[in-house]
Amino acid sequence: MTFDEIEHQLLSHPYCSVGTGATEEEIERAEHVLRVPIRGGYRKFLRRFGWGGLHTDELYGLGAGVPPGLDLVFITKSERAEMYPPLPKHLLPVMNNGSGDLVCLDTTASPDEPPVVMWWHEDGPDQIPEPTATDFISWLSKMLEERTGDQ
Amino acid sequence: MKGRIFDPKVGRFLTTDPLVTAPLSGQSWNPYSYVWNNPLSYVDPTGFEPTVVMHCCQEINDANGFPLGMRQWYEVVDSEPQDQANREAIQTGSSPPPVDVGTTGNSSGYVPQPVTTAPTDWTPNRSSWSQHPVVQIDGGFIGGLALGSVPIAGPVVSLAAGATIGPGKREARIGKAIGEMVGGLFLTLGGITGELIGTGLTTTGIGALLGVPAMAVSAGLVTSGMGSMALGAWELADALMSKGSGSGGSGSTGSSGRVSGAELAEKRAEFNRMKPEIWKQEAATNPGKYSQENLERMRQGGALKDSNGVSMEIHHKIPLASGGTNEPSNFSIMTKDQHRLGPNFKANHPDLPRRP
Repeated sequence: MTFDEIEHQLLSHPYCSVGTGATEEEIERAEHVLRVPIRGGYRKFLRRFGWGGLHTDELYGLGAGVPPGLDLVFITKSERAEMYPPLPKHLLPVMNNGSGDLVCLDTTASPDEPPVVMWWHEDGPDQIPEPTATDFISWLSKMLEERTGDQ
Repeated sequence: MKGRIFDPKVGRFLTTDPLVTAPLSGQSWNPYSYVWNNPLSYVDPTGFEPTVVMHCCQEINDANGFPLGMRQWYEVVDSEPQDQANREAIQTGSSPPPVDVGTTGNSSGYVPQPVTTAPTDWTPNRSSWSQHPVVQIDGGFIGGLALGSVPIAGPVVSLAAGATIGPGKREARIGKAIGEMVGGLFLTLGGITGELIGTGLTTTGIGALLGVPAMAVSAGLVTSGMGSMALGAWELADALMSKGSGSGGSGSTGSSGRVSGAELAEKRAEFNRMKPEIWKQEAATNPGKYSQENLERMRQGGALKDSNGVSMEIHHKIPLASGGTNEPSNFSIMTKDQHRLGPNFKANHPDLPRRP
């Protein structure tokens, strides 16, 4: 699925809730504060939507009107410093699966198009993040297909 | 440091640590080490026991909300009392829970449920009393003693029951196995005594007619007693190696054993598939507990939001990685902080891996 197809599918979903997009300045500021590169499909998502998704699966993000619970910078800092197991600094969380596990981008594996990995809260601080998709767009496509099939 | 003397010139302790505070940790047995050689996570102001250092952060923003930086500090946490108090407060619901006022400020208010499995009430005259481990062991022991003391009763009952009833609680099985071994020992000793008496009667020629049958019966008792002991030993080993309850009572929260690989992956995928339905069910079951805004979101399969607009999390009371299930009885709705904030994580997931 291409990004345009994702956009169409997302916006045509009855339970879609997204922002209006983040500016380059906002993304760069987040990169600076979090000290990780934000590239590839997720950056595209941030630029186009900013934050959100379906009600069942809301993505963290940036930009105008971002709810506190989806604020990428706030959540990432909290997951690194306050939550257990502490999120490694090279993992950028993009979504909570609803039980405290985090869908993340592994920014060290391939900074330009980072793979998607799972950080399982039950697996302790020494876990090796579990690869789940080669890139953000693939992961988002699969997730949307699964949820669309649920309707 | 009150408990030990430290020489700053040589950078060494002059006295050993008087306590082994964590016998299962190798570092704890080193009498000259400081906080288990993990000074990044612990401090030891008393000199007797390491305590947790909590890293605290607070974002500092300018008037426009632009992040200027982070204020960071460390707090010493008296870990065990803190954890215990936290756990008890969580379990009993005694701490004031956060209230969902909704972003429009007109909600009926969400009060989180007690967040972990309620402590078991062992008070007499409650149905749970029969599940107490001591009662289970005692009951199992008495039953096992009866079975072990009656020739071939143990094997017969085990074979007959195996196909019809579950293996029972682990404690009861341990008690039964020990009882069978003790009963079998009594039977064996009785048989040996009978053998000796029978032999005596036979050799003296006084009562060969009595002695020979007595020896035959005694031999049977010895054989049966040894069989009971062997069966008890087998069942004891089996019970000790088992993961937990084998039948009845505790439902999905009854056992714990590490799960990994494909089984764990399937459980996690199952949770992901059923997540929207969980929230829909919660909205249908408890509509009076939530704001209209939250109810609407939950009816669409979205997560309940707390008063800060952060999605609530579904905690597995018995973690999936510890054998828990995706049954509603294993769920507990919590805020992110209640679920995973530092000490709360430990209280909610006592059996999961942590750094020593």
